[in-house]
Amino acid sequence: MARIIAELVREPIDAAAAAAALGAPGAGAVVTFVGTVRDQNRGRAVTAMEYEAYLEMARPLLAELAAETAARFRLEGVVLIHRLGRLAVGEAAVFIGVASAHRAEAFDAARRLIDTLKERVPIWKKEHYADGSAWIDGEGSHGA
Amino acid sequence: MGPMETKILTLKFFAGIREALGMAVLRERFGDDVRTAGDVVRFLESRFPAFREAAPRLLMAVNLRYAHPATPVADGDEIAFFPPVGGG
Repeated sequence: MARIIAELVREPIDAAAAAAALGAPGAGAVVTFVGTVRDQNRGRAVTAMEYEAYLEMARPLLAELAAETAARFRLEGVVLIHRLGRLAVGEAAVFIGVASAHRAEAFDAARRLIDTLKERVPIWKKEHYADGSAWIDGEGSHGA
Repeated sequence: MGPMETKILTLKFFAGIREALGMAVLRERFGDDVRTAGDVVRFLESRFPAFREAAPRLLMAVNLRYAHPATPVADGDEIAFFPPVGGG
């Protein structure tokens, strides 16, 4: 059984601790991805990013995504953490970590986790600028 | 004819549509004429201009599962409306 952690958190993500939580002695490959808040988007300076989730729906979908990806890629471990609330530029919004026997599966699984998370999990973000703010429409259009 | 069947639905709104409507939750009693998620959409469109404007882009979920206009709704259901998702 793969070790699986899937969480929505409000406190800062500790990437080192999250990677350590993968704890998979049988894994020859560990891939981690950290998505951070950028200081600009579409030509506008971004001062902060605010994340909102439909918690009751997002939590089970995140867990399901982690479990389904672990099974499909035969992973030893999956850690999937998304932060909510208001984040400053440079802060980690999402952490993805996978451990597997070989590197190909690890890279593919990490890529699929972030892509599917953005497509399926009900989380939204609002960019803040020096002079206002705007919701950023996602690409997620269905639950498949 | 007996009294009309009624159902109470909890409607939730997130992100941009929550802000546009100025509310996150609306509990509303409906009659027999509201049987599907699409019927709820029509109710919200007629009641709230801001919803009508946003409706073509919104996604919906019934009891925490993605739904479509033909998805049936029943007493006690929770129906959520939100823009295309995109965390990360």
